[in-house]
Amino acid sequence: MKKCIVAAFLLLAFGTAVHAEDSTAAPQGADDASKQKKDDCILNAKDCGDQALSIENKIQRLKEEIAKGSRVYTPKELQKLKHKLEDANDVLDELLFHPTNN
Amino acid sequence: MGNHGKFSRYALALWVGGSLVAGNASLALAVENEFHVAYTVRSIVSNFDDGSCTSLGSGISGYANGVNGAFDKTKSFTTLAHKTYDGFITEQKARLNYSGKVDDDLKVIAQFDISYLFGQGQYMENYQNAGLKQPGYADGGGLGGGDVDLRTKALYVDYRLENKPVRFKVGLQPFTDPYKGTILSNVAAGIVSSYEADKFELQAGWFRLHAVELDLAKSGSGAESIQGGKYIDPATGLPFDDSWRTDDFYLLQGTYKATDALTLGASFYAWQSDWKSTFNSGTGAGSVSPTTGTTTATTGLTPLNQDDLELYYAGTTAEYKFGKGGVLDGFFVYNFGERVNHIAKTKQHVSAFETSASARIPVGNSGLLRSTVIYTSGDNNPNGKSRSDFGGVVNVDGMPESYFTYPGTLLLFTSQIGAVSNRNVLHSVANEGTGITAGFIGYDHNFTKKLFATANAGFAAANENPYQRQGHYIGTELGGEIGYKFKPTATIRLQGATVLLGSYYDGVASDGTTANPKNPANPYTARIVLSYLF
Repeated sequence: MKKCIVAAFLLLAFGTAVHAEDSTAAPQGADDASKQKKDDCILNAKDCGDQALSIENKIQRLKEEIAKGSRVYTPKELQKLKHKLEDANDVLDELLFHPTNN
Repeated sequence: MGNHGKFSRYALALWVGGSLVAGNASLALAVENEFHVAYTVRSIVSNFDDGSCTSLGSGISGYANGVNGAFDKTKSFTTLAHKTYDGFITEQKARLNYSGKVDDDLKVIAQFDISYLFGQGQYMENYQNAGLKQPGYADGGGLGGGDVDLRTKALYVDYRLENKPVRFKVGLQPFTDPYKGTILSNVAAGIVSSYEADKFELQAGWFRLHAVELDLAKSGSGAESIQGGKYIDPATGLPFDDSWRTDDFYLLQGTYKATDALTLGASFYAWQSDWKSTFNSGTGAGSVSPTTGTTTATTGLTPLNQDDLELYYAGTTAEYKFGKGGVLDGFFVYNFGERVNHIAKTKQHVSAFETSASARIPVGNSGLLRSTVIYTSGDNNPNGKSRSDFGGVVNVDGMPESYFTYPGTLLLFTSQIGAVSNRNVLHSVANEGTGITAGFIGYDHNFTKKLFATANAGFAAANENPYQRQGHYIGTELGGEIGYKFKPTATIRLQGATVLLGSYYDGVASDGTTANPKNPANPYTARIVLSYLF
């Protein structure tokens, strides 16, 4: 009985959270102009405004920027983006790394 | 010492190299700080699964044993009763990941865990043996809060040589072998250097796994003296006084991208455990010589200095990618070297192997079929002169430091999904020397961008039978989960699984007798998991 009550509470709590739909979703389908532009926030951590990227979001953005390729970025900048992607993947791995006790 | 000296010099060279480059940072530019968080809270109803915040073998299993306070460090099924009791726990785990970048090539990474069981903490000092409570373990969730509970899970410097494809990681860092974590998969302090080129990548590294003094004999605790790995005095059953143990793990590995689809890998690992002991059974007549194992009449100290364990792992991997997201891969590892049998005080030659194959096949646009099989060699007599059982790295307590999380099962092996459990039917692919044949099949489906489900089935059987069980079949797991990603950063999951135990566990229940043996109850778990990843 006790378990059922707690389970119901948890479901209620999470269920309420479910209703808070994602207002913070990343802006989708940025306009065509941005497809030809460098993203200075991703590349140099400049002009980021007050945005903070979640790790999954950051990985997604880095992949998008790398996909723009040499049309937009110099080889050196591309290398930098690739390293940043490696690093971000490392962080994700570490966050999800089997969290053993000791 | 043999090879050990050579390895040590190599480790030293690596260390000097690592620290030199780490100290060679150019002038600092703008410092880039980044924080990320993974937070999980989950409720578990089970007769077996005690989550990850309880200490090993306590928690629900304490109830399951029917003996409050039973500290079942071996987590063996044989202590499970035929009649089990359901437990209900809620626990939370937060990981904080900080990376600070001084320039593009140099950064420091720190990761901390704060995790605890709801209700475990303050006011429990007087109840340390009362089931749930183990001192200093994941406290903080008790009435009143206020416990110090911060664990450092990573702290290292990541350095790239400017304009060169060379990278160093120096410090406490995660490491998982490419054999799906079956040899070593945990956080360890060491240095890993890597060379990255278009087609291939090479890594060389060293980890210091243990540098510990083992003086548990002083505590006089019989319970501790039987925990694995220590030199046990057969006369008293106690471990030697003043043993100093160092464990090192050396790695050399590389991958070669033969084509866009095919990647080949090879590696060589060495795990060496060095013991320096002062023998002091200390009771005069009747004490036992550590070198000969014979009884002597002398009292006092006899120094002992020997390589306790030298195990090597030579392995290869192959991975083939096809279509959109399809992967076939496999590996083979040969495990050889020497172990010391602490009881018989004899050297044992090891010759063992493991092999595995896996497939990930996309089904339509939203499904994924997964399957993996694994075979590890076992041994019918782990106390003989030679051993053919495959074994990954174990810690000073004799517990595996390898985690075969790949199949995604909840009970047979631990799962990384929604945080691991401390308690699994199998703790490693070695299964305490029996070796296993195991197979898993699973299907993941995304119904929408937010709603997903997984179904899993798996089986495992022991290859050898050193413990004279009734049969070889360990069990069949059936399980699954439904998940909903209600925000880009947050997911709620319902998970459930059960294992139908096989003949390997027939008659081993702790409340059975020789005349009336009983089988342990089939374990099950049901969880609600909320995770937040930022």
